[in-house]
Amino acid sequence: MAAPSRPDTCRDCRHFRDDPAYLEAVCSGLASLGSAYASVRGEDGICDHHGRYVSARAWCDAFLPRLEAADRKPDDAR
Amino acid sequence: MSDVGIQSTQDFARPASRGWHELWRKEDWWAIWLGLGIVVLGAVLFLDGASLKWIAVTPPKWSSLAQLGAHFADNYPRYLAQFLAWLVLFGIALTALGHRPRAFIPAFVFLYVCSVLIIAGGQWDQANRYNLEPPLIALAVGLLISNVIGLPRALDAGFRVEFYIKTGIVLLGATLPFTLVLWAGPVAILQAGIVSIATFLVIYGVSLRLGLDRRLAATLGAGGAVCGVSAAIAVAGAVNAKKEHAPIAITTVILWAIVMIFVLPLLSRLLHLPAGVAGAWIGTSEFADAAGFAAAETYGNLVGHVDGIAGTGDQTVWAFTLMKVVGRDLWIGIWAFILAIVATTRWERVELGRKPDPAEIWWRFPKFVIGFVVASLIVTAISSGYTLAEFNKVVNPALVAPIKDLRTWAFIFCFLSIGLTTRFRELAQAGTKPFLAFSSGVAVNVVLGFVLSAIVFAAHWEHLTR
Repeated sequence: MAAPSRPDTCRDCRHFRDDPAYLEAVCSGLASLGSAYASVRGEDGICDHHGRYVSARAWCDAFLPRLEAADRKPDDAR
Repeated sequence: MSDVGIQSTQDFARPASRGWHELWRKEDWWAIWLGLGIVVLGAVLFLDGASLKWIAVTPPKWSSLAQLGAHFADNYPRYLAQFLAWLVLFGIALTALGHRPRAFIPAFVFLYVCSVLIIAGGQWDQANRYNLEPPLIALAVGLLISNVIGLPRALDAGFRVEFYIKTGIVLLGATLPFTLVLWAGPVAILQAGIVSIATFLVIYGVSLRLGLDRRLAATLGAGGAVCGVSAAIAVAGAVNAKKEHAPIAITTVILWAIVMIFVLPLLSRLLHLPAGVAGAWIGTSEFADAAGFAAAETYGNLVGHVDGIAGTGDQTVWAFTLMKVVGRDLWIGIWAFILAIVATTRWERVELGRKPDPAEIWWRFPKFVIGFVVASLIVTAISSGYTLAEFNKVVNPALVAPIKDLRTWAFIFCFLSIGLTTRFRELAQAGTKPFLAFSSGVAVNVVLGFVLSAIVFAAHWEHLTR
Protein backbone atom coordinates (compact mmCIF):
# COMPACT_ATOMS: atom_id res chain seq x y z
CA MET A 1 0.00 0.00 0.00
CA ALA A 2 1.47 3.35 -0.99
CA ALA A 3 1.78 6.13 1.53
CA PRO A 4 -0.97 8.70 1.23
CA SER A 5 0.02 12.14 0.03
CA ARG A 6 -1.08 13.66 3.32
CA PRO A 7 0.31 12.18 6.51
CA ASP A 8 -3.09 11.28 7.87
CA THR A 9 -2.06 8.52 10.19
CA CYS A 10 -4.05 6.60 12.78
CA ARG A 11 -2.93 9.03 15.48
CA ASP A 12 -5.36 11.62 14.16
CA CYS A 13 -8.07 9.23 13.07
CA ARG A 14 -11.46 9.09 14.75
CA HIS A 15 -11.35 5.27 14.71
CA PHE A 16 -8.10 5.09 16.67
CA ARG A 17 -8.27 4.74 20.46
CA ASP A 18 -5.07 4.60 22.48
CA ASP A 19 -6.02 6.13 25.80
CA PRO A 20 -4.39 3.84 28.41
CA ALA A 21 -7.51 3.84 30.61
CA TYR A 22 -9.59 2.72 27.64
CA LEU A 23 -7.13 -0.01 26.65
CA GLU A 24 -7.02 -1.37 30.21
CA ALA A 25 -10.82 -1.31 30.35
CA VAL A 26 -11.33 -3.29 27.15
CA CYS A 27 -8.35 -5.61 27.52
CA SER A 28 -9.11 -7.74 30.56
CA GLY A 29 -6.07 -8.62 32.63
CA LEU A 30 -3.79 -6.04 31.04
CA ALA A 31 -3.43 -4.17 34.35
CA SER A 32 -2.90 -7.38 36.38
CA LEU A 33 0.58 -8.26 35.18
CA GLY A 34 1.16 -5.47 32.69
CA SER A 35 0.14 -1.90 31.95
CA ALA A 36 -1.13 0.28 29.16
CA TYR A 37 1.01 3.10 30.58
CA ALA A 38 4.27 1.23 29.88
CA SER A 39 6.92 2.23 27.35
CA VAL A 40 6.73 -1.18 25.63
CA ARG A 41 3.26 -0.37 24.29
CA GLY A 42 4.73 2.49 22.31
CA GLU A 43 1.87 4.40 20.68
CA ASP A 44 -0.26 1.45 19.71
CA GLY A 45 -4.01 1.52 20.07
CA ILE A 46 -7.16 -0.16 18.84
CA CYS A 47 -8.68 0.67 15.47
CA ASP A 48 -12.43 0.39 15.89
CA HIS A 49 -12.90 0.29 12.12
CA HIS A 50 -10.64 -2.71 11.43
CA GLY A 51 -10.87 -4.29 14.88
CA ARG A 52 -7.09 -4.51 15.18
CA TYR A 53 -4.22 -3.33 17.35
CA VAL A 54 -2.38 -0.82 15.21
CA SER A 55 0.47 1.62 15.45
CA ALA A 56 -0.34 5.33 15.68
CA ARG A 57 1.83 5.70 12.56
CA ALA A 58 -0.20 3.31 10.43
CA TRP A 59 -2.67 4.60 7.82
CA CYS A 60 -5.51 3.40 5.64
CA ASP A 61 -8.21 4.57 3.26
CA ALA A 62 -10.85 4.67 6.00
CA PHE A 63 -9.18 7.62 7.73
CA LEU A 64 -11.64 9.99 9.38
CA PRO A 65 -10.12 13.06 11.01
CA ARG A 66 -10.84 13.76 14.63
CA LEU A 67 -12.80 16.93 15.00
CA GLU A 68 -10.04 18.72 16.86
CA ALA A 69 -7.36 17.37 14.53
CA ALA A 70 -9.17 18.41 11.36
CA ASP A 71 -8.62 22.06 12.14
CA ARG A 72 -4.87 21.69 12.56
CA LYS A 73 -2.17 21.85 9.92
CA PRO A 74 -0.90 18.42 8.80
CA ASP A 75 2.58 19.11 10.17
CA ASP A 76 1.16 19.95 13.58
CA ALA A 77 -0.58 16.62 13.67
CA ARG A 78 2.71 14.71 13.55
CA MET B 1 -12.78 -8.65 25.28
CA SER B 2 -14.58 -7.35 28.27
CA ASP B 3 -17.10 -4.60 28.04
CA VAL B 4 -16.84 -3.78 31.72
CA GLY B 5 -16.51 -0.07 32.31
CA ILE B 6 -16.35 0.95 28.67
CA GLN B 7 -17.26 4.53 28.06
CA SER B 8 -17.96 6.45 24.92
CA THR B 9 -15.12 7.69 22.72
CA GLN B 10 -15.56 11.25 23.96
CA ASP B 11 -14.83 10.18 27.52
CA PHE B 12 -11.25 9.29 26.70
CA ALA B 13 -8.41 11.64 25.99
CA ARG B 14 -7.26 11.98 22.40
CA PRO B 15 -3.87 10.45 21.54
CA ALA B 16 -0.88 12.65 22.14
CA SER B 17 2.07 12.53 19.77
CA ARG B 18 5.38 11.08 20.91
CA GLY B 19 8.02 13.41 22.32
CA TRP B 20 9.26 14.82 25.56
CA HIS B 21 5.84 14.32 27.09
CA GLU B 22 6.78 10.64 27.49
CA LEU B 23 8.93 11.74 30.40
CA TRP B 24 5.80 12.36 32.44
CA ARG B 25 3.19 10.32 30.52
CA LYS B 26 4.81 6.87 30.76
CA GLU B 27 5.12 4.97 34.02
CA ASP B 28 8.61 3.73 33.12
CA TRP B 29 9.92 7.27 33.42
CA TRP B 30 8.05 7.91 36.64
CA ALA B 31 9.60 4.73 38.09
CA ILE B 32 12.97 6.25 37.20
CA TRP B 33 12.18 9.63 38.76
CA LEU B 34 10.92 8.04 41.98
CA GLY B 35 13.44 5.22 42.26
CA LEU B 36 16.48 7.28 41.31
CA GLY B 37 15.24 10.17 43.44
CA ILE B 38 15.29 7.86 46.46
CA VAL B 39 18.72 6.46 45.57
CA VAL B 40 20.24 9.92 45.00
CA LEU B 41 18.73 11.19 48.26
CA GLY B 42 20.12 8.14 50.07
CA ALA B 43 23.56 8.72 48.51
CA VAL B 44 23.59 12.42 49.43
CA LEU B 45 22.56 11.65 53.00
CA PHE B 46 25.20 8.90 53.23
CA LEU B 47 27.96 11.20 51.99
CA ASP B 48 26.80 13.74 54.58
CA GLY B 49 27.00 11.17 57.37
CA ALA B 50 23.24 10.60 57.58
CA SER B 51 20.90 7.87 56.24
CA LEU B 52 17.43 7.00 54.96
CA LYS B 53 17.25 4.47 57.80
CA TRP B 54 14.68 6.41 59.84
CA ILE B 55 12.02 6.45 57.14
CA ALA B 56 12.87 3.01 55.71
CA VAL B 57 11.31 1.30 58.71
CA THR B 58 10.04 -2.30 58.50
CA PRO B 59 8.67 -4.59 61.20
CA PRO B 60 11.48 -6.57 62.91
CA LYS B 61 11.51 -10.28 63.78
CA TRP B 62 9.07 -10.96 66.61
CA SER B 63 7.94 -13.90 68.68
CA SER B 64 4.97 -12.43 70.59
CA LEU B 65 2.24 -9.97 69.73
CA ALA B 66 3.31 -7.84 72.70
CA GLN B 67 6.74 -7.48 71.14
CA LEU B 68 5.25 -6.47 67.81
CA GLY B 69 2.84 -4.06 69.48
CA ALA B 70 5.70 -2.41 71.35
CA HIS B 71 7.57 -1.92 68.08
CA PHE B 72 4.60 -0.16 66.47
CA ALA B 73 4.00 1.96 69.58
CA ASP B 74 7.62 3.12 69.52
CA ASN B 75 7.85 3.65 65.77
CA TYR B 76 4.45 4.85 64.59
CA PRO B 77 5.77 8.32 63.60
CA ARG B 78 8.22 6.60 61.25
CA TYR B 79 5.46 4.51 59.65
CA LEU B 80 3.27 7.58 59.34
CA ALA B 81 6.07 9.55 57.66
CA GLN B 82 6.82 6.66 55.34
CA PHE B 83 3.16 6.25 54.42
CA LEU B 84 2.83 9.96 53.65
CA ALA B 85 6.03 9.92 51.56
CA TRP B 86 4.82 6.98 49.45
CA LEU B 87 1.35 8.52 49.18
CA VAL B 88 2.70 11.84 47.92
CA LEU B 89 5.28 10.35 45.55
CA PHE B 90 3.01 7.74 44.01
CA GLY B 91 0.10 10.18 44.08
CA ILE B 92 1.97 12.80 42.04
CA ALA B 93 3.14 10.19 39.53
CA LEU B 94 -0.23 8.50 39.08
CA THR B 95 -2.05 11.83 38.82
CA ALA B 96 0.37 12.87 36.06
CA LEU B 97 -0.38 9.57 34.32
CA GLY B 98 -4.08 10.40 34.37
CA HIS B 99 -5.42 8.61 37.43
CA ARG B 100 -7.78 10.36 39.82
CA PRO B 101 -6.32 11.21 43.26
CA ARG B 102 -9.80 10.69 44.75
CA ALA B 103 -9.62 7.02 43.72
CA PHE B 104 -5.90 6.55 44.40
CA ILE B 105 -5.82 7.82 48.01
CA PRO B 106 -8.30 5.36 49.61
CA ALA B 107 -6.82 2.53 47.53
CA PHE B 108 -3.32 3.30 48.72
CA VAL B 109 -4.41 3.58 52.36
CA PHE B 110 -5.88 0.08 52.04
CA LEU B 111 -2.76 -1.18 50.24
CA TYR B 112 -0.37 0.23 52.84
CA VAL B 113 -2.28 -1.10 55.85
CA CYS B 114 -2.48 -4.58 54.29
CA SER B 115 1.23 -4.41 53.43
CA VAL B 116 2.16 -3.56 57.03
CA LEU B 117 0.21 -6.58 58.24
CA ILE B 118 1.71 -8.88 55.59
CA ILE B 119 5.31 -7.82 56.18
CA ALA B 120 4.79 -8.09 59.95
CA GLY B 121 3.28 -11.56 59.46
CA GLY B 122 6.35 -12.65 57.51
CA GLN B 123 8.59 -11.50 60.39
CA TRP B 124 6.97 -13.84 62.90
CA ASP B 125 9.69 -16.21 64.08
CA GLN B 126 7.46 -19.20 63.23
CA ALA B 127 6.51 -17.90 59.77
CA ASN B 128 8.93 -20.17 57.88
CA ARG B 129 7.57 -23.19 59.70
CA TYR B 130 4.13 -22.50 58.21
CA ASN B 131 5.45 -21.26 54.82
CA LEU B 132 4.10 -17.77 55.49
CA GLU B 133 6.27 -16.06 52.89
CA PRO B 134 5.17 -12.42 52.46
CA PRO B 135 5.06 -12.52 48.62
CA LEU B 136 2.80 -15.57 48.66
CA ILE B 137 0.62 -14.21 51.48
CA ALA B 138 0.24 -10.92 49.61
CA LEU B 139 -0.76 -12.69 46.42
CA ALA B 140 -3.15 -15.08 48.16
CA VAL B 141 -4.79 -12.33 50.23
CA GLY B 142 -5.18 -10.14 47.16
CA LEU B 143 -6.72 -12.95 45.09
CA LEU B 144 -9.09 -13.81 47.93
CA ILE B 145 -10.26 -10.22 48.32
CA SER B 146 -10.74 -9.55 44.61
CA ASN B 147 -12.36 -12.88 43.72
CA VAL B 148 -14.43 -13.64 46.82
CA ILE B 149 -15.17 -10.35 48.57
CA GLY B 150 -14.69 -7.83 45.76
CA LEU B 151 -13.64 -4.19 45.87
CA PRO B 152 -14.91 -1.18 43.88
CA ARG B 153 -13.18 -1.10 40.50
CA ALA B 154 -12.26 2.56 41.00
CA LEU B 155 -9.74 1.44 43.63
CA ASP B 156 -7.64 -0.16 40.88
CA ALA B 157 -6.17 3.35 40.51
CA GLY B 158 -4.00 2.52 43.53
CA PHE B 159 -3.23 -1.10 42.62
CA ARG B 160 -0.65 -0.39 39.90
CA VAL B 161 1.29 -3.66 39.65
CA GLU B 162 3.72 -2.58 36.94
CA PHE B 163 4.44 0.83 38.39
CA TYR B 164 5.32 -0.60 41.81
CA ILE B 165 7.49 -3.38 40.39
CA LYS B 166 9.37 -0.98 38.11
CA THR B 167 10.01 1.39 41.01
CA GLY B 168 11.20 -1.61 43.03
CA ILE B 169 13.51 -2.73 40.21
CA VAL B 170 15.14 0.72 40.04
CA LEU B 171 15.70 0.53 43.81
CA LEU B 172 17.03 -2.99 43.35
CA GLY B 173 19.68 -1.58 41.01
CA ALA B 174 21.22 0.16 44.03
CA THR B 175 21.74 -3.19 45.75
CA LEU B 176 23.23 -4.94 42.71
CA PRO B 177 26.93 -4.15 42.05
CA PHE B 178 27.46 -2.96 38.48
CA THR B 179 30.53 -5.19 38.24
CA LEU B 180 28.17 -8.15 38.71
CA VAL B 181 25.94 -6.88 35.91
CA LEU B 182 28.99 -6.78 33.62
CA TRP B 183 30.27 -10.17 34.75
CA ALA B 184 27.02 -12.14 34.74
CA GLY B 185 25.05 -10.16 32.14
CA PRO B 186 26.48 -11.86 29.03
CA VAL B 187 25.69 -15.36 30.36
CA ALA B 188 22.18 -14.17 31.27
CA ILE B 189 21.69 -12.85 27.74
CA LEU B 190 23.00 -16.08 26.22
CA GLN B 191 20.85 -18.34 28.40
CA ALA B 192 17.75 -16.19 28.08
CA GLY B 193 18.30 -15.92 24.33
CA ILE B 194 18.41 -19.69 23.89
CA VAL B 195 15.29 -20.26 25.98
CA SER B 196 13.35 -17.31 24.52
CA ILE B 197 13.92 -18.34 20.91
CA ALA B 198 13.11 -22.00 21.62
CA THR B 199 9.96 -21.08 23.56
CA PHE B 200 8.76 -18.67 20.88
CA LEU B 201 9.31 -21.17 18.07
CA VAL B 202 7.51 -23.95 19.95
CA ILE B 203 4.46 -21.81 20.80
CA TYR B 204 4.37 -20.31 17.32
CA GLY B 205 4.79 -23.70 15.59
CA VAL B 206 2.20 -25.48 17.72
CA SER B 207 -0.23 -22.59 17.26
CA LEU B 208 0.03 -22.87 13.48
CA ARG B 209 -0.36 -26.66 13.65
CA LEU B 210 -3.54 -26.10 15.64
CA GLY B 211 -4.81 -23.74 12.96
CA LEU B 212 -4.49 -20.46 14.88
CA ASP B 213 -3.95 -17.12 13.13
CA ARG B 214 -0.26 -16.17 12.65
CA ARG B 215 -0.76 -12.92 14.50
CA LEU B 216 -2.26 -14.66 17.51
CA ALA B 217 0.55 -17.23 17.32
CA ALA B 218 3.16 -14.44 17.43
CA THR B 219 1.39 -12.66 20.29
CA LEU B 220 1.19 -15.88 22.31
CA GLY B 221 4.79 -16.75 21.49
CA ALA B 222 6.14 -13.37 22.60
CA GLY B 223 4.07 -13.55 25.80
CA GLY B 224 5.69 -16.87 26.68
CA ALA B 225 9.18 -16.09 25.46
CA VAL B 226 9.96 -12.51 26.39
CA CYS B 227 8.19 -10.60 29.12
CA GLY B 228 4.66 -11.89 29.51
CA VAL B 229 1.77 -9.44 29.31
CA SER B 230 4.05 -6.56 28.27
CA ALA B 231 5.42 -8.56 25.35
CA ALA B 232 1.96 -9.72 24.32
CA ILE B 233 0.61 -6.18 24.10
CA ALA B 234 3.76 -4.89 22.35
CA VAL B 235 3.79 -7.64 19.72
CA ALA B 236 0.01 -7.45 19.21
CA GLY B 237 0.53 -3.84 18.10
CA ALA B 238 3.63 -4.65 16.06
CA VAL B 239 1.90 -7.34 13.98
CA ASN B 240 -1.52 -5.64 13.75
CA ALA B 241 -3.18 -8.43 15.71
CA LYS B 242 -6.95 -8.63 15.94
CA LYS B 243 -8.22 -6.86 19.01
CA GLU B 244 -9.27 -10.12 20.68
CA HIS B 245 -5.78 -11.63 20.31
CA ALA B 246 -4.06 -9.70 23.09
CA PRO B 247 -6.66 -10.54 25.77
CA ILE B 248 -6.38 -14.23 24.84
CA ALA B 249 -2.60 -14.12 25.20
CA ILE B 250 -2.87 -12.10 28.42
CA THR B 251 -5.23 -14.64 29.99
CA THR B 252 -2.89 -17.55 29.27
CA VAL B 253 0.13 -15.60 30.53
CA ILE B 254 -1.64 -14.65 33.79
CA LEU B 255 -2.84 -18.19 34.49
CA TRP B 256 0.58 -19.74 33.96
CA ALA B 257 2.44 -16.90 35.69
CA ILE B 258 0.36 -17.31 38.85
CA VAL B 259 0.81 -21.10 38.80
CA MET B 260 4.58 -20.64 38.44
CA ILE B 261 4.78 -18.25 41.40
CA PHE B 262 3.96 -21.24 43.58
CA VAL B 263 5.45 -24.11 41.53
CA LEU B 264 8.97 -22.83 40.75
CA PRO B 265 9.98 -22.02 44.37
CA LEU B 266 8.39 -25.29 45.52
CA LEU B 267 10.29 -27.40 42.96
CA SER B 268 13.50 -25.49 43.69
CA ARG B 269 13.05 -26.22 47.37
CA LEU B 270 12.38 -29.92 46.79
CA LEU B 271 15.51 -30.11 44.63
CA HIS B 272 17.53 -28.04 47.14
CA LEU B 273 18.74 -25.79 44.35
CA PRO B 274 21.40 -23.26 45.36
CA ALA B 275 20.03 -19.74 45.73
CA GLY B 276 21.57 -18.32 42.53
CA VAL B 277 20.61 -21.36 40.43
CA ALA B 278 16.98 -21.11 41.52
CA GLY B 279 16.97 -17.38 40.74
CA ALA B 280 18.29 -18.05 37.24
CA TRP B 281 15.71 -20.78 36.66
CA ILE B 282 12.86 -18.57 37.84
CA GLY B 283 14.19 -15.72 35.69
CA THR B 284 14.24 -18.00 32.66
CA SER B 285 10.90 -19.72 33.20
CA GLU B 286 8.55 -17.15 34.76
CA PHE B 287 6.49 -15.05 32.38
CA ALA B 288 6.16 -11.63 33.96
CA ASP B 289 8.47 -9.43 36.04
CA ALA B 290 6.03 -8.98 38.91
CA ALA B 291 5.18 -12.68 39.15
CA GLY B 292 8.83 -13.64 38.82
CA PHE B 293 9.91 -11.31 41.61
CA ALA B 294 7.22 -12.84 43.84
CA ALA B 295 8.67 -16.30 43.16
CA ALA B 296 12.31 -15.17 43.50
CA GLU B 297 11.68 -13.26 46.74
CA THR B 298 9.84 -16.28 48.12
CA TYR B 299 12.79 -18.58 47.46
CA GLY B 300 15.27 -15.95 48.62
CA ASN B 301 13.43 -15.76 51.95
CA LEU B 302 13.83 -19.53 52.38
CA VAL B 303 17.61 -19.32 52.13
CA GLY B 304 19.11 -19.54 55.61
CA HIS B 305 15.86 -20.86 57.08
CA VAL B 306 15.57 -24.17 55.23
CA ASP B 307 18.33 -26.77 55.44
CA GLY B 308 20.12 -27.76 52.27
CA ILE B 309 19.82 -24.49 50.32
CA ALA B 310 23.24 -23.02 49.64
CA GLY B 311 23.92 -19.34 49.05
CA THR B 312 22.19 -16.13 50.08
CA GLY B 313 18.78 -14.63 49.47
CA ASP B 314 20.43 -11.80 47.52
CA GLN B 315 21.81 -14.34 45.02
CA THR B 316 18.30 -15.51 44.13
CA VAL B 317 17.08 -11.98 43.48
CA TRP B 318 20.27 -10.95 41.65
CA ALA B 319 20.23 -14.01 39.36
CA PHE B 320 16.53 -13.57 38.68
CA THR B 321 16.98 -9.88 37.85
CA LEU B 322 19.92 -10.47 35.55
CA MET B 323 18.07 -13.22 33.70
CA LYS B 324 14.67 -11.55 33.46
CA VAL B 325 15.47 -7.86 33.14
CA VAL B 326 18.85 -7.96 31.36
CA GLY B 327 18.42 -11.28 29.53
CA ARG B 328 14.79 -10.98 28.42
CA ASP B 329 13.02 -7.64 28.99
CA LEU B 330 15.65 -5.52 27.25
CA TRP B 331 15.04 -7.19 23.91
CA ILE B 332 11.30 -6.64 23.50
CA GLY B 333 11.84 -3.76 21.05
CA ILE B 334 13.92 -5.97 18.78
CA TRP B 335 11.34 -8.78 18.91
CA ALA B 336 8.58 -6.31 18.05
CA PHE B 337 10.58 -4.73 15.21
CA ILE B 338 11.48 -8.08 13.61
CA LEU B 339 7.93 -9.38 13.91
CA ALA B 340 6.59 -6.11 12.46
CA ILE B 341 8.82 -6.61 9.42
CA VAL B 342 7.69 -10.23 9.04
CA ALA B 343 4.03 -9.28 9.49
CA THR B 344 4.09 -6.48 6.92
CA THR B 345 6.24 -8.22 4.30
CA ARG B 346 5.55 -11.96 4.61
CA TRP B 347 2.14 -12.51 6.12
CA GLU B 348 -1.21 -11.80 4.57
CA ARG B 349 -1.66 -8.12 3.87
CA VAL B 350 -4.25 -6.23 5.86
CA GLU B 351 -6.03 -3.05 4.95
CA LEU B 352 -3.57 -1.00 6.93
CA GLY B 353 -0.46 0.69 5.61
CA ARG B 354 2.61 0.66 7.76
CA LYS B 355 6.37 0.89 7.47
CA PRO B 356 8.36 -0.72 10.32
CA ASP B 357 10.82 1.76 11.75
CA PRO B 358 14.05 0.73 13.55
CA ALA B 359 13.36 3.58 15.98
CA GLU B 360 10.60 1.34 17.33
CA ILE B 361 13.33 -0.56 19.21
CA TRP B 362 13.96 2.55 21.29
CA TRP B 363 10.30 3.59 21.58
CA ARG B 364 9.42 0.21 23.07
CA PHE B 365 12.58 -0.05 25.18
CA PRO B 366 11.57 -0.66 28.82
CA LYS B 367 13.01 2.63 30.04
CA PHE B 368 12.93 1.72 33.73
CA VAL B 369 16.00 -0.44 33.02
CA ILE B 370 17.94 2.82 32.56
CA GLY B 371 17.06 3.74 36.14
CA PHE B 372 18.09 0.27 37.31
CA VAL B 373 21.53 0.62 35.65
CA VAL B 374 22.10 4.20 36.86
CA ALA B 375 21.16 3.23 40.43
CA SER B 376 23.65 0.37 40.26
CA LEU B 377 26.35 2.70 38.93
CA ILE B 378 25.74 5.31 41.67
CA VAL B 379 26.05 2.88 44.56
CA THR B 380 28.92 0.97 42.93
CA ALA B 381 30.83 4.26 42.51
CA ILE B 382 30.24 5.20 46.14
CA SER B 383 31.24 1.73 47.34
CA SER B 384 34.38 1.52 45.22
CA GLY B 385 36.58 3.18 47.84
CA TYR B 386 35.69 0.63 50.51
CA THR B 387 37.01 -2.88 51.20
CA LEU B 388 34.39 -5.64 51.51
CA ALA B 389 34.67 -5.52 55.31
CA GLU B 390 34.24 -1.73 55.32
CA PHE B 391 31.34 -2.04 52.91
CA ASN B 392 29.56 -4.47 55.22
CA LYS B 393 30.23 -2.27 58.24
CA VAL B 394 29.66 1.22 56.82
CA VAL B 395 28.01 1.35 53.39
CA ASN B 396 25.56 -1.52 53.75
CA PRO B 397 23.77 -0.45 56.95
CA ALA B 398 23.65 3.27 56.13
CA LEU B 399 23.02 3.25 52.39
CA VAL B 400 22.18 -0.13 50.84
CA ALA B 401 20.03 -1.72 53.58
CA PRO B 402 17.54 1.20 53.83
CA ILE B 403 17.11 1.21 50.04
CA LYS B 404 16.59 -2.55 50.17
CA ASP B 405 13.92 -2.09 52.86
CA LEU B 406 12.12 0.50 50.72
CA ARG B 407 12.35 -1.96 47.82
CA THR B 408 10.65 -4.55 50.01
CA TRP B 409 7.72 -2.16 50.47
CA ALA B 410 7.45 -1.46 46.73
CA PHE B 411 7.49 -5.19 45.99
CA ILE B 412 4.81 -5.99 48.56
CA PHE B 413 2.61 -3.21 47.12
CA CYS B 414 3.09 -4.94 43.77
CA PHE B 415 2.44 -8.52 44.92
CA LEU B 416 -0.71 -7.47 46.74
CA SER B 417 -1.85 -5.52 43.68
CA ILE B 418 -1.42 -8.58 41.46
CA GLY B 419 -3.99 -10.39 43.55
CA LEU B 420 -6.27 -7.38 43.90
CA THR B 421 -6.46 -6.80 40.14
CA THR B 422 -6.66 -10.43 38.98
CA ARG B 423 -10.36 -11.21 38.70
CA PHE B 424 -10.55 -14.65 37.13
CA ARG B 425 -14.16 -14.37 36.05
CA GLU B 426 -13.38 -11.24 34.02
CA LEU B 427 -10.44 -12.66 32.10
CA ALA B 428 -11.07 -13.32 28.42
CA GLN B 429 -11.94 -16.87 27.40
CA ALA B 430 -8.60 -18.06 26.06
CA GLY B 431 -9.93 -21.16 24.31
CA THR B 432 -8.42 -24.64 24.29
CA LYS B 433 -6.11 -24.23 21.30
CA PRO B 434 -4.29 -21.07 22.47
CA PHE B 435 -3.98 -22.61 25.93
CA LEU B 436 -2.51 -25.83 24.53
CA ALA B 437 -0.09 -23.94 22.29
CA PHE B 438 1.10 -21.75 25.16
CA SER B 439 1.36 -24.73 27.51
CA SER B 440 3.62 -26.56 25.07
CA GLY B 441 5.97 -23.57 25.27
CA VAL B 442 5.75 -23.65 29.07
CA ALA B 443 6.91 -27.29 29.08
CA VAL B 444 9.93 -26.52 26.90
CA ASN B 445 10.69 -23.31 28.76
CA VAL B 446 10.67 -24.94 32.22
CA VAL B 447 12.77 -27.97 31.22
CA LEU B 448 15.27 -26.04 29.11
CA GLY B 449 15.49 -23.32 31.75
CA PHE B 450 16.26 -25.93 34.41
CA VAL B 451 18.91 -27.69 32.31
CA LEU B 452 20.71 -24.42 31.53
CA SER B 453 20.43 -23.00 35.07
CA ALA B 454 21.10 -26.11 37.14
CA ILE B 455 23.47 -28.04 34.86
CA VAL B 456 25.08 -26.09 32.00
CA PHE B 457 25.65 -22.75 33.78
CA ALA B 458 25.22 -23.98 37.37
CA ALA B 459 28.74 -23.01 38.48
CA HIS B 460 28.16 -19.51 37.14
CA TRP B 461 24.89 -18.92 38.97
CA GLU B 462 26.06 -20.54 42.22
CA HIS B 463 28.88 -18.07 42.61
CA LEU B 464 27.26 -14.70 42.14
CA THR B 465 28.95 -12.47 44.66
CA ARG B 466 29.62 -8.85 45.40
